[in-house]
Amino acid sequence: MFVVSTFRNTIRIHPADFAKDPQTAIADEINRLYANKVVLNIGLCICLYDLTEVGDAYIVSSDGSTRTEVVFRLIVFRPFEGEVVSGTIRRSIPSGIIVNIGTFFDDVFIPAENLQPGTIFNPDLQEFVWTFAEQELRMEADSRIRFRVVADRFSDLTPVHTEAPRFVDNDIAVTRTVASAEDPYKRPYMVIGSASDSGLGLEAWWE
Amino acid sequence: MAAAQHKPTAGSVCLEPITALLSNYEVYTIVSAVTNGTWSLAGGSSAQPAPAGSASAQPTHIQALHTIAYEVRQYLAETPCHVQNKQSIEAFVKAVQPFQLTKGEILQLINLRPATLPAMTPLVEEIEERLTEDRINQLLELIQQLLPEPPTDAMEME
Repeated sequence: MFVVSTFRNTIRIHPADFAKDPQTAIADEINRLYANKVVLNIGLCICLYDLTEVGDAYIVSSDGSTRTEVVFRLIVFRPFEGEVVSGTIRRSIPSGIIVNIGTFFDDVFIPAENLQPGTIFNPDLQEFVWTFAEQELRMEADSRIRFRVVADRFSDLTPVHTEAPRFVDNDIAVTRTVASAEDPYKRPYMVIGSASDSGLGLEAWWE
Repeated sequence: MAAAQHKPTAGSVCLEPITALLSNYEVYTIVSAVTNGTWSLAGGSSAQPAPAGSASAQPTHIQALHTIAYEVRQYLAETPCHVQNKQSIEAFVKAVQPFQLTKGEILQLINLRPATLPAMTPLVEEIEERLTEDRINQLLELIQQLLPEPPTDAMEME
């Protein structure tokens, strides 16, 4: 579920931190910048793994801070394609199941078509129910579920400004829509899963 | 420190998205150290020598770091990795060589420690085509023998 990723960045140390050991100051700054943040197309960063190369520290004029080019490695949450992961069902909607991994990652989605054949959404229970060998197996919220990672989706959530309405041909107002406004629930990093294989689905089913 | 040559900020660049895979055990060890306050660069995972004459300034509290480390630790503490150790993982990796599993498959066997065939089936692609029934049983045996067994709820209640 976790990988090591190599990054390079220019790390700024504020004069208030000059009393710290320089490597510790750099480590703290890297953790401050990356911990618990999603980096586009890389994954959810956990913490610093180690420093690979620390360059010379430069002081930029008009700013008392030092800037150092650092190559470093981070621990990143990025389950690989095909990996089997254990999570908890948060809630179900007609198009699929939203699953959490612990409390640190909330954005796993298992589309309805990726569930065991014969699974149907029950709108009264707001749950999926798998009918198997004449048993009705409910996929209740808070159940532990094992799924396979099928794909990941990264979205760039950099704010985009809307153009002001403008007149075209003197009487038609045109507004450029913002991509993220169409989908307010867009998440920076979403994992798409599947629970259709044998051995996947609720852990309770296979014990 | 070198004097004031203007150096533009380069910004964050990812040089290598996946330098290596980590076992849950390795991550558990690191996030546990972070939550305990015992993590240090030198003690961490690389061969960085301890810097000479380290000033003991107040340790900085970085909320986001503690939040994510705590949450990841909570999750991993409920998985088999929390009773694993370096020796058993190395022994297992060695013993499993003849089975010709991929790196990802071996990693998953270590992280999930399946105890039964239904639990192991999704982890090894086309398991019944690649391994005979005897080999499958041997593999399950190896897992039982070499990887420590996590306590089940029943055992914990005793």
